[in-house]
Amino acid sequence: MSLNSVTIKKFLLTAGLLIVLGQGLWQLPELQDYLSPAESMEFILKRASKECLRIKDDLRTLNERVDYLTWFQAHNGPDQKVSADRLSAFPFSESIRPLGPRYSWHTNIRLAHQNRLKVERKLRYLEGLLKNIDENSPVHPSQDSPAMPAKTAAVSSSMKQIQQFQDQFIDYNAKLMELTKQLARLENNGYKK
Amino acid sequence: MRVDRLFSPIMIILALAAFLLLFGLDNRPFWQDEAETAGLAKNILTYGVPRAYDGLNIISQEQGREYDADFLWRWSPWLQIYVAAAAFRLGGLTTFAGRLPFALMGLACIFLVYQLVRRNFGDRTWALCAATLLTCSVPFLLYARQCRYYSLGALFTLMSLYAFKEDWQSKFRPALLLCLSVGFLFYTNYLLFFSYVMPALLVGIWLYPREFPLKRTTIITLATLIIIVPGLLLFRIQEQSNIMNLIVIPNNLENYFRDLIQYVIPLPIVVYLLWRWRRVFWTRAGIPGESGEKFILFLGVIIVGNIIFLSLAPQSEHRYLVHLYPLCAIIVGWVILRAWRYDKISGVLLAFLLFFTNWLYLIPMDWLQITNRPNHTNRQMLTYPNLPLRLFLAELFSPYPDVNRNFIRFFQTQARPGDLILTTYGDLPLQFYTPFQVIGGLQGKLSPSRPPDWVVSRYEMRYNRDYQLQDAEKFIREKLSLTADYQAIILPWEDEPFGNRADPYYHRFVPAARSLAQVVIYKKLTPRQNVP
Repeated sequence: MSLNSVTIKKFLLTAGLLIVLGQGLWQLPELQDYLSPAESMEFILKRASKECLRIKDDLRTLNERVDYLTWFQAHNGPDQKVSADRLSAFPFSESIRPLGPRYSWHTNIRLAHQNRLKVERKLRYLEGLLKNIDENSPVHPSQDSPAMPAKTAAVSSSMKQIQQFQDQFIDYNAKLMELTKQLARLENNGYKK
Repeated sequence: MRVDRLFSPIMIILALAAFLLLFGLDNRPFWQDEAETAGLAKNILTYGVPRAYDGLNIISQEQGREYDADFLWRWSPWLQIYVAAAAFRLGGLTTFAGRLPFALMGLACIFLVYQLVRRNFGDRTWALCAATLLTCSVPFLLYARQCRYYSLGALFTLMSLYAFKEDWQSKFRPALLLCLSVGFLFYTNYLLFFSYVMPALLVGIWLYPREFPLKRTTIITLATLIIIVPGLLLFRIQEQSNIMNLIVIPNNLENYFRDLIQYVIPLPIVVYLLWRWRRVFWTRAGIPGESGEKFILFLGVIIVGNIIFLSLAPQSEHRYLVHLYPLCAIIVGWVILRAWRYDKISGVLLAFLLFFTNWLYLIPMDWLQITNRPNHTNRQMLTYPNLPLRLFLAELFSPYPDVNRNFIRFFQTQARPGDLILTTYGDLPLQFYTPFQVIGGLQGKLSPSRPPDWVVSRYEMRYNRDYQLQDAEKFIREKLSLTADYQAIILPWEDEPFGNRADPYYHRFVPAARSLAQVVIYKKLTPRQNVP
């Protein structure tokens, strides 16, 4: 029985290591580059799509933080009770707010700026990615002229996706600018107590 | 020397390490942080002390907070700067000379890891395993090849452990070594000192209570304090601690622990050790009796304590973990040996995975979706499953001109004596390698007496500690009219963010398959060219 358990453990250990080995070999960059070349349009579109999702998430977080700061500024009276609603969204900030409102305020401003920067950097990356589409590529918007022969379905689909990303980029940029302005206003008005 | 000693396994490992640490050491020029050390070292040769201003250029990455009115550098400790200055004095103002002493210290770390294990635990295989792991650790090699304090910090950490395992309680030499290594660690980087010394002392007292005689411990503590007091007064530690923010601590902790399992100790090994020592944290009876394992526990708890202390500092950077790489190599070497003794096949597999691949680090993290893979990284970097040594050798044998090399070459050939260059980043390498006045970067407020002759607006935007755009970026946007007064020169190289940065999240071994942004340099139009 004891021997069996040792054998099973050894087998599991070896199997686990072999799985890692196998997956590592499968993920070797050379093999992956061969299967889905980094240069391929599909690869860039995948990256852009991932980046858009990340930006969306970060923008939502920034929006929530700015909302919280707006609420914080409006509720700076002597009665500094913990808000149950806010506690679920910002547990740490909200729990320290009654104890050190000024500290909590400045910390949240700092975190909002951190978040803003994150979005700015990601947008910059997305911009680079979209600009980077080879200008000679059939999917590049500059190649879209009436004189061109009918595009293949794959190319049209890629073009559509690129257009979507470009629209999203403009939309995210506008949202970021708006939130940046709101944040600047909050910061200028400061925490008055 | 006898032939069998010359070809002993440790000599072979050291020869391999020497090759990996020294070959092509100057393939790439200093990047911004290295150039800060090198620039200050260069000024030591002229002034005897690290001055931030040499009469032409200012060295600063903190908006001028690093020095006083006399330009004396008071931001970071001076040991690394003097080490680089000594190397420049002996070998000339070259990239190779600047990096050489630090690479040699990296080599000394590998030997000391071997010596520490072998001498104290008499296990040659474990010692060899640990030394090999450190030799094959590409992040460690990259950091040790920098003209910065990283290998110096690792060496003093190891020396303090070496002295601790000697008879420092009754002998003078180990006590002196302990005192000096800890004291010099402060002058290497005080963040490393504070984060390492406190946990090491506390864990030492917890695990080896009988090895801390009160009198000797007090003497050593006082002697160390005497060594560090001048530094406490000289360096602006208080000013840096002002930028500490409690709320970033959870985030820092997350970053450091993730970095640790992504590059230094793989998650499965951490889980194994936690499971093995699960009782240690509840009862003293759980403390391993065997001296080797007890030492491993000692190192493990020091690492955790070190990270907790590190997370109090405002920035979390992978470089602050470099002095822990040798400690982790000793731990992982011990685990490989246990696996081998438990099951030969597993031992071989584990050793292969840990010596030659980063798969055991990244793949389990991928399964849990906790891998940190920033958007700027690509498959040819350490953030993806790879054969790190193959990537590293590709860099050594097929070096490509990185962004700093390209800028240096450009200005060496295109700029004229007396030209003024404004750049939003990478000012310090240009200051070191070219004879021109270079402003901008992270230096802070700009007030040039005339418009710059050259402007470099780097693709990656830089922000200050208040999350505002750096002054150089603002100056270009608000005070210059690049379209009207400058001619844009688009160059066919990628505007990489850093160049030869060792950080595994940023280090490129080969050029990116597809560059994100090309370099644009703006040249000031002469009045004649400027006529519409």
